[in-house]
Amino acid sequence: MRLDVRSPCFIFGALDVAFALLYLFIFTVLMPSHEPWTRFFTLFFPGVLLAGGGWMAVQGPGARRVGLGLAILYLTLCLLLLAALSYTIGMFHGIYGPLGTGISVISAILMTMTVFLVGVWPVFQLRAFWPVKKP
Amino acid sequence: MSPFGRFLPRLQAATVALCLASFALGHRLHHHDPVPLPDAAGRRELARTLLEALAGSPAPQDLETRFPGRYPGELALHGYRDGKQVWRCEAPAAPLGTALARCLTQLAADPPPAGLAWRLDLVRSVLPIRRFFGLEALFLLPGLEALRVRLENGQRITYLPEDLFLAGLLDRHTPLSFVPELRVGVDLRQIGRLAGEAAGHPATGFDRMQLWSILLDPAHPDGYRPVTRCHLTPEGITPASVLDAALAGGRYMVRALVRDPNERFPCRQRQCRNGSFTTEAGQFLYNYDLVTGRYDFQNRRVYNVVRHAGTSYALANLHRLTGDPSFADAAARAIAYLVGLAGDSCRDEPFRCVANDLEPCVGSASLTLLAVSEYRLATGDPRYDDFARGLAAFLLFMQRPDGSFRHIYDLRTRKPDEHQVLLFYSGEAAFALAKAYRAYGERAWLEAADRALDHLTGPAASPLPFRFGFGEEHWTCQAAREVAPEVMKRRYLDFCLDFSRFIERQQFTKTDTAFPDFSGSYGFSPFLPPHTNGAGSRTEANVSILELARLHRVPAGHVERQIRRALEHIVTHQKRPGTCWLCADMTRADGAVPNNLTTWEVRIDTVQHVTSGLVRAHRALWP
Repeated sequence: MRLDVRSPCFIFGALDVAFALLYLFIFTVLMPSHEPWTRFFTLFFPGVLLAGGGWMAVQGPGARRVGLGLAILYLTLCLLLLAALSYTIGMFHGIYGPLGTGISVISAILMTMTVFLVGVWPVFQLRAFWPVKKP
Repeated sequence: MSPFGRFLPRLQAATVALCLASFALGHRLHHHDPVPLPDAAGRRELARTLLEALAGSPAPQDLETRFPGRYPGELALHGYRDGKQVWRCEAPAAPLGTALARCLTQLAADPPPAGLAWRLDLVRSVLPIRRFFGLEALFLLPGLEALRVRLENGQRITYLPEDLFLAGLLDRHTPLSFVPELRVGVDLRQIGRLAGEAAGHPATGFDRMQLWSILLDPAHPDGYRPVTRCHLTPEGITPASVLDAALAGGRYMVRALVRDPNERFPCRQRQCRNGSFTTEAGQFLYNYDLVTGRYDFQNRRVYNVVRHAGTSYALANLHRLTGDPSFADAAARAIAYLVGLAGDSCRDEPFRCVANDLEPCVGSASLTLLAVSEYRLATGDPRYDDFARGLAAFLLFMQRPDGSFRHIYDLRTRKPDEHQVLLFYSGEAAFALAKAYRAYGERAWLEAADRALDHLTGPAASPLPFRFGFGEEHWTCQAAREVAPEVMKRRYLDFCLDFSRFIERQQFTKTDTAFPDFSGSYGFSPFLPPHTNGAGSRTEANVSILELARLHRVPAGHVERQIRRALEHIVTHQKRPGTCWLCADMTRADGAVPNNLTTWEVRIDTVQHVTSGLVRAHRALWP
């Protein structure tokens, strides 16, 4: 099988694999969770990304749809994480009142990191695989 | 515009809306919506009714019509003597008048002993504490809110802030099992277990309750004083209140000095024989628990010499600034203890050092030299002059040509440790050498202090990340003040003014958090109760910075503002007769300042730093 390394499927697939490996490294080596269900989710989603990215890279059947699905999945994850962070900040704000500059800065950094880690790249992937009507 | 181009702004808007909605939901579900209190006249009437009943008047008949407000929890009236709760009434406040009538009936039926401190708490709002990934340990505002445990049989047990303090249940949660020292929040499992054991039924849930808390005070025009976290808030600070607090702190240190080696002190640890211990004369009782009235065990092996020396310095400094001879006497006894320790160490070296092991450090020598020099300045007593010269020789020996210091000397190898670096020691050494110059006039010591400051404000500060931050420089800035006016380098002033601006960003103000009593202390977040020690040591530094700025004729309004906030914080949290109903023994506790606001332990160096900060600030602000 000959791979077209210039095709969007290969490029985004390879990036997906790289991101998946990064997430797996983070959640297995740097920051493994010891709570069973958190461990499942922190390994399941990178696993899906790894498999989907690999499939896209080798340009298997329906690779574009897989790419679109992965982008939607990770954008949804990003939104859920941002919602959870916002809820947590709102919760502590409700209990403690103003949280002070230090905690506010950390919260802002966490939200920005979430967007950078799981929000920016799926937008590009979504754009690349956005369904277009055939003329 | 392409379909994706139209989609992207919608996605962004949806993200923002989702975040805002999530924030609002989290806030709404966890924010108290308290029932309004009776108006000011009603509150005064409530306090007056209780005070009259406590004085023996019969209970009025129309309480339900006079206090019709309905509250979601109980009214609790509780009385304290010697730190123990000796009387308590709890009744549902729906309406408030009914609860009041019930407590007055109980007062008549079960008359309390005279002379109690009376606390009143009214529950204004109740919210459940739900599990949330372990963060629920942080959901209770420690010392401000009450905790209610729901039991399987429907019974409910309320822990008022006093109950939580007395049972030592605050700051018990250890989020990281491998760092047992990191304790933050309440351990709900521990409290559930305790409540379950007491009632015989397992706990099924918890509620947090917002309170209106007051201390009945017949001398006050309102008949009560508001209570925050089991303490009263003074109405501002005055020169007299600051000086009075400094003197009280000094007297606490004088009382903490052991004079009789056979005197037995009540001990917290189980291993103490018969629940008490003795220790050497000349030591300070190191750690005191205000609520139990007991000390931590200590002997020469586990005694902290550096903090002993720092306390000796504070006493000498107090004598110098107030002229009270009891402080000089205590300082002399404490210094004599250090001389005794030094007699056993460094006897084969060309200098003197102070240690209770084989590794004398620059810290203990510096603070001892500081204490001896301050004592010499305060009293003119020359009996420790040779000792001071020996200590200064040690510091000069430990100083490198670039002004930095080796921090540990190994008596076995008779060589300094070139690698180990410890917090504070270099700044302490610079300050001690400068103070020794002031006391003895030895020019070489001033030059050594100047070299140390050059290093501390230059190369030593540069490894810090891009100079965004500072290390703990409170000794450094005291040294910078002490070398002036002989050494007036603008760099030292700029460094210290920057340091002061840096720490001001960590200083809480009254509106920073839900805890107005954090104001004036230094910390990072409302989750970690601040340590009072910081308010003391940073005030010492800020006073020096203010004095140095005045010598340079540079305005330093931000420094003065910071000092005033810290003084108010210290005076608020200092334990005095009439303000500490949880103190087991007021004769021991008077003048004490707890290490932090949720565990009422008093380490001697906390009192040392805050007292020194108070008396020096008094002199600087109201000369």
